[in-house]
Amino acid sequence: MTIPTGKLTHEQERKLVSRAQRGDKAATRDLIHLHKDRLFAFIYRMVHNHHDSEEICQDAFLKAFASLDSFKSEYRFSTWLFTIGYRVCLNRLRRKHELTGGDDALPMQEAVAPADEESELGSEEAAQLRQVVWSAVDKLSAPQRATVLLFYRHEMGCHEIAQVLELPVATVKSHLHRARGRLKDVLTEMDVHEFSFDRNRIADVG
Amino acid sequence: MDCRQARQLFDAYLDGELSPTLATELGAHRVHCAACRRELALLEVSGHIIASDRDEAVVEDDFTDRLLACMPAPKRHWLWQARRRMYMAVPLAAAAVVALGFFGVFRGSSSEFRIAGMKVEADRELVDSLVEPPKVVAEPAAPDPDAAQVRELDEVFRRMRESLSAKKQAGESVQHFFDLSILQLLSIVDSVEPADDDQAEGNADEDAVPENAYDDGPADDGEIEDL
Repeated sequence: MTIPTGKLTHEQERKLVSRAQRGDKAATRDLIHLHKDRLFAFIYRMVHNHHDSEEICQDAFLKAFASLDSFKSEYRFSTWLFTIGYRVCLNRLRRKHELTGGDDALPMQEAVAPADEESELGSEEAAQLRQVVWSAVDKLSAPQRATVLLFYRHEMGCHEIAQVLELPVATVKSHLHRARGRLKDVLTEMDVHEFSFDRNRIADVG
Repeated sequence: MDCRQARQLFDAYLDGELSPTLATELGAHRVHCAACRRELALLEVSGHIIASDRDEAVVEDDFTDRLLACMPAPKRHWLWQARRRMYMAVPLAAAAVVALGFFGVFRGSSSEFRIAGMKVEADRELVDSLVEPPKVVAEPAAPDPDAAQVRELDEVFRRMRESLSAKKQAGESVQHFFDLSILQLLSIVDSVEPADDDQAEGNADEDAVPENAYDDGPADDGEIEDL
């Protein structure tokens, strides 16, 4: 069965998960195919290492399918998968923290090929601004970074993020508030006010 | 609205949770306050960069195949398991029927009696054949190491036939008689020593079913497709 790359409705997803629960290999393959890119992108932004990200992503999928019987159909599969992925990710970061003796600095982002030519068209100022923002994101604590990524890049609401991070909604909002404050401070410190934040310039950044 | 009040609404505004009335109030303040306008612009642009940056790491193309190769065989569906149990149950049920049939023949002296709590109609001809056994031409007996036990069994059967014949002629119930006879036969069988203990134990081990014998079905992936 070929699944369209677009988002599934909750009902379509429920049927697909139900088939996977019965041992249907095609449904399992479709679920992996549908979610692997988003999960990998999220994990990569958390750990900044391709090999580690792939291992965490694989581990998350294996854990998810091993306990698929316990999945509750009222939730979205993606939410559940991201919950497992985040937990595995957090364990990996904690282990790394213990091994490095508390040096939590993330490695520099590996070179990622631009998705298309459009991203190369931004001005030098826009590229510099983008670098400053992502550098600030990387300096956030793991829960704050995860909150920001899930909110902005994965378009999750605070309630869904709370499920993924297994935190109260109020805590998620607090993380988001602190992360925004940190980003604003970094941008201010970097004298980014020299940039003009008109809408056209912002569009170039994207 | 002052700057302090406006800043308290920034998060709700960025989360899209601000009511239309408050959003208008904040918009009005923003127009007139350069500091709040700049602060909100910094927050908006940072969110916009995070949301729309197109440079994204992608997973390897063969990730799905490698992941599927790591996965254990899927659990069998309960229907498959039920069917497998049914297949296992058929020979056991057949064996049980044969065993019950044997006891039915052996105890078939009355027109109606019970086997394992069930009422069973007995065949009168079987009873008669037991009372009047067919005449067999005697053949020279081969040397038998268990001759004493065979003779003992013959004697038991002879006494059973005589007693059964007498009870039948007298019109008495033969139920109690057969119960006693079976107990007597069992006591003889129990008294027989096994010829070779080691061999007997070896056979028992071979027949033993491993505890997890039914946990995993055969590696037949096609089975689940049928369900």
